[in-house]
Order: sequence, then structure tokens, then C-alpha cells
Amino acid sequence: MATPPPTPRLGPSHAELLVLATIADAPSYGYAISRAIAAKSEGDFTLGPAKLYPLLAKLEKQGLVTTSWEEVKSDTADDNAKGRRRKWYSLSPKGTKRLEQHIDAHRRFTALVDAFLPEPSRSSRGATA
Amino acid sequence: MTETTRTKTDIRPSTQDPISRWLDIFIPMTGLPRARQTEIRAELDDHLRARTADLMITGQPEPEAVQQAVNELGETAHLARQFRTALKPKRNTLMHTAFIAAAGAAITLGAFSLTSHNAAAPGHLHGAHTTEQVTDPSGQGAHIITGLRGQTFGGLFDSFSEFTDVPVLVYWDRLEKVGIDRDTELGLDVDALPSHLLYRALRERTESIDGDTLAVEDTPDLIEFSLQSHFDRRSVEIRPHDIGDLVYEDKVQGQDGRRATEADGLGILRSIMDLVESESWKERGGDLISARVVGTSLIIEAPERIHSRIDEVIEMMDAEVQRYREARQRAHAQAAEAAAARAAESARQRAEAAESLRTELDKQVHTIVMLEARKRSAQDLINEIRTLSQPFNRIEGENDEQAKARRAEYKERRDTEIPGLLIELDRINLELEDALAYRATTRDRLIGLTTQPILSNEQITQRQQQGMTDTDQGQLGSVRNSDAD
Repeated sequence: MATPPPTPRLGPSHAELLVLATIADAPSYGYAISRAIAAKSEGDFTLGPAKLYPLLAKLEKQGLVTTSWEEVKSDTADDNAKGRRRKWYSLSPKGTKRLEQHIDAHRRFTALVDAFLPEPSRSSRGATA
Repeated sequence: MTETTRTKTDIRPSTQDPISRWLDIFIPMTGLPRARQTEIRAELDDHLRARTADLMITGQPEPEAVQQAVNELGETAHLARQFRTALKPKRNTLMHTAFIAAAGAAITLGAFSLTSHNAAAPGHLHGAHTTEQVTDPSGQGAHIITGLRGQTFGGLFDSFSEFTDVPVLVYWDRLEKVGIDRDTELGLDVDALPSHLLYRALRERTESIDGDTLAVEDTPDLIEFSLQSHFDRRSVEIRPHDIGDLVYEDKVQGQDGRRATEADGLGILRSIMDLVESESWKERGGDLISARVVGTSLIIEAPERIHSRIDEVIEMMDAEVQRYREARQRAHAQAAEAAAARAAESARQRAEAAESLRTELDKQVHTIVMLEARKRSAQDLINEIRTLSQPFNRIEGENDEQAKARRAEYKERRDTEIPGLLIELDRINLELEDALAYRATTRDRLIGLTTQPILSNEQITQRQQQGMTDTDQGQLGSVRNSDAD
């Protein structure tokens, strides 16, 4: 049986790209971002909290994301009870620009690398046809 | 930042609240401003509780779920450093950052522009250069700054104002101390340099005798150019640096780590003094950095950039210490494995020797049983002959004639057989004595060799069924008792 190719490693720049892309569609919060990345990559990319939260802090500091807070409560909680605070992230205009640059750079880089690669073999194309 | 209130389903573990206790310990370690600490605490609190709730849904008990959620955050000192690193102003690379921002904005800057290493400028505007960049997705992309020859500091700094949305503030009065004013040329004999090399070149070009030099500091709202000493003085703060991982022995072979001593902390501090701006420490005659060792922390008063360097050095030391500890643990594991293999081999040899001794012991028991039987038989015969040769002895139903004949016969046998039987009995006794002594020695060797039962209960029962004597049973009983001891 052929050995499956190794899972690509998520570098810092890729992590930033994935986080910005994840919140591009809709605002999200840390844990949901982490789950969304894992779900979309079918578990191949995991951005653990130890990397995610410092990265989000950096993105906020650079003005690439804007943040807001909500108070979350249990459905059964008393109306007067204090819930916990959740930090939501949205893409700022500067972040949108950065994401576009990331996407453009990534596509150009991929296209450049692709130019050096051989065409997919007939058999592999046939298999998917 | 806005605050909204929404209602959502929330499984909130609250018993004993280990999450809050962990945050109480972790948050101060970040050494960040209090407002930032409050935000990080709230965010991590939300993460940990949401993660715990998810894990509990999958069936994990609450304590294990909380533990796993906390473990996923990694080692606390490392996480604290990650936050500090993410939020620190990176003065040494700020110019590089600013150049990249400019390239991103894709604005042509007169005589000052950016281009990529490998992309040819497609055209010229303002009779000068065109901005072009290819960013390596790995984040290691290099940006080439062109149009440097003949450029002035004023022109360079003005260009930032033009191509970024962020205002640029230049402290010209301070820069004059190192011989820079608006019209001072960069003085570089090249037209193009990678951004980080340009920054380094300008710092070297402007360095004064006392080591002060051009520096840049940026925030999302402002880019400032001034002297390094200016930024240092205004960013001085006191901050703890955790060195617990460096001064505590980790757990090896179940032994708890030893308690750190002040000498351990001082040793780490001396190493850091050697590695980070060694002449700037007050303890070494400098005037910028001071430090104290308190428990497993270094309390250091220094500019932000020095704190960052210290964090980096501690992180490097952590990594090295971790490698050393892992190597030591591997060596311990290998030694333990070798010892276990030797013990197993020794046990195997002892088991073989014990089995051989058990077989020998079985033979000896059998010999003793046989000798005892022969001894009983000889004694019985001697007793019979002696009894039946007595003059007044009569067997029931025997007449005088018959008694006389029987006594005569047994007298003759007494004279002829008993001497031989007595000699035989002596010989048997000697053999029995030797056999018992040999068996005792064998048994002692076996007891010394193994703690396993010398004879199993089944073997003892078998021996009893084979007609073993009281003496033998007593011997075996003592052996069994020895085993029990």
C-alpha cells in the first residue's frame, strides 16, 4: 500500500492567511475559528490555541482585524446572572487588503511552482474522468 | 470595540473552577499591561469553557475535559512569551515592515521604490521606478528597496508619509545628535538593498561613539524615527521573567524535581547578562538594565526591546535545557532497559539453576525414602530374629517341639544373620546421614537462589502418597516454611 503524502506544515504566513480567510465571510471568535480551520481542512490543519490566540492578538495590534465583545449566557441562566465574555473578530479594511495580497501572492507563488511541475499522468487523469 | 449581549447555550463547568485558578496563575506571567491582561483572560476563559463543554459532550468527565483543554494551551511560560512576542513593538524590523506595507500599497514613490528579487519592474512612473513585489507565502519574502543612491533621510522619511495611512513623526532634534538632519544623504554607495539590510546599514551609518543610533518604532497609529536611547528610556518597565523551567530539575524516574536555589537563579541571570547587552546592566557598570532574582523569577527593569531579547534568550535556554533533559531521559530509559535485560537474563539463569536443584532435590528425597525403607526393613528383621530366638518365647498354637525347633532355627539365624544385618544397618545409617546432609545443602542453595516455592503443594502431596517417612515430611515442611518466610 502506498504511503500517504505527509500533511503540509502550517507556517506562520499560512496561518495568518487561513485566519484572515476564515473571518472574511463572517465575524467569528477564537474557538470557532480554530474549529472552522480544522473542519475545512478535514483535520489536516490544526491551529491550536497556543498559536491562534497570540496570532489573533498580533493581527489586532496590526489593525488587520477589528474586535467586539459579547456576553454569552446559558439558556437556563438567570436574566441577572453575569455570563462570560466572548471576543469576536472581523476583518478590517486593512485586513481585507492584506488578505487580498496574501491570496494574490499565494496564487502567483503556486502558479510559479506549478510551471516547474510535470503534467499529471494520463492514468491519474483517467482515474478521475 | 463594542459590547453586545446574546443568549447562547452554554455548558459552564463551575465546580471548584480550575479554569479560573489556572488563569490566576497564567495571566500575570504575560507581563502585559493590565487592560490587555483582562482581555486575554476573558478570551482564554471563553475558549477553555467552550472547549471543556465540547469535550464533555463527547463523554469525557469534567475534570479530565478541563485538564485536556488546559493542556492544549501548552506550557504556560511559553504561551506567555508567545503573547508578549505577538504584542511587542518590533523595533528592529519596523522599517522592514513599513517597506512591506508600502509595497502592499503599490504606490510609486518618486526616487524611492520597492521591487521584488526576481520580478522585473514592468514600467516607470515619474521618471523613476515602479513598485512591484512577490511575497513568498512562507513569510520569508525579501523586499528590495531601490533608488537609494543620492536619497536623503528627509526624503526617505517623507516617503513613508506618502505611502502609508499612518502618520510619521521624526525627532530631528534628537537625530541631530548623531549627525542626521533632513538633508543628510543616506550615504549608501548602492542603489538597491533588501529592506532589512538597508535598516542595518542606516543604523551602522548613524551609530555614535557611545553606541546610540537611529531607531524606528511603529504602532498601528504612528511611525516614529528617533534615537535608540530615546525609545529605550520611554519604554523602561519592570517585568518578571519566569525561569522556573530552567532552574528546576524535571522529573526523572519518578523523582520529584529538587527545589531551586538562589544560586541557580543567579547563574541564569549571569548567563543572560553575558548574552544581552552585557555592558548595559547596572551590576556591570551600565545604566540601562537592573535585575533581581526572586524565587524562580527574574525581576528586570529594562526597555521593552531588552525584555524581548531576554525572552528570546530564555526561550533558547528552555529549548536547550529541554533537549538536554530529553537526552538524559533517553539515557536513563536506555540504562533502565539494559538493567531490565540484565535482570531478566539473571532471573532466567537463576530459574534454570533452581530447576536443576529442584530435580536434584527430588532425586535426593527419593534416595532418602529408599534408604529409610531399607533401614526399617533391616531393623524389623533384626527385631524378629531376636524376638523369636528368646528361650521362653512361644507363639500361640505352637507345641513344645515346634517351639524348640523354631528357637534353634532363630538362634542360628541370630548368630549368622544379625552381625551382617547390623553392619548393613550401620552402612544404611551412614548413607542416610550423607543423603540428609546433601539434601540440606541442596535445599539451602535453592532457598538462596529463588523465592519461588521449592516444592509445590502437589509435589509435597505426591511425596506423602509415595510413603515418605515422618522425617522426610518434617524436612519438606521446614522447606515449605522457609519459603513462606
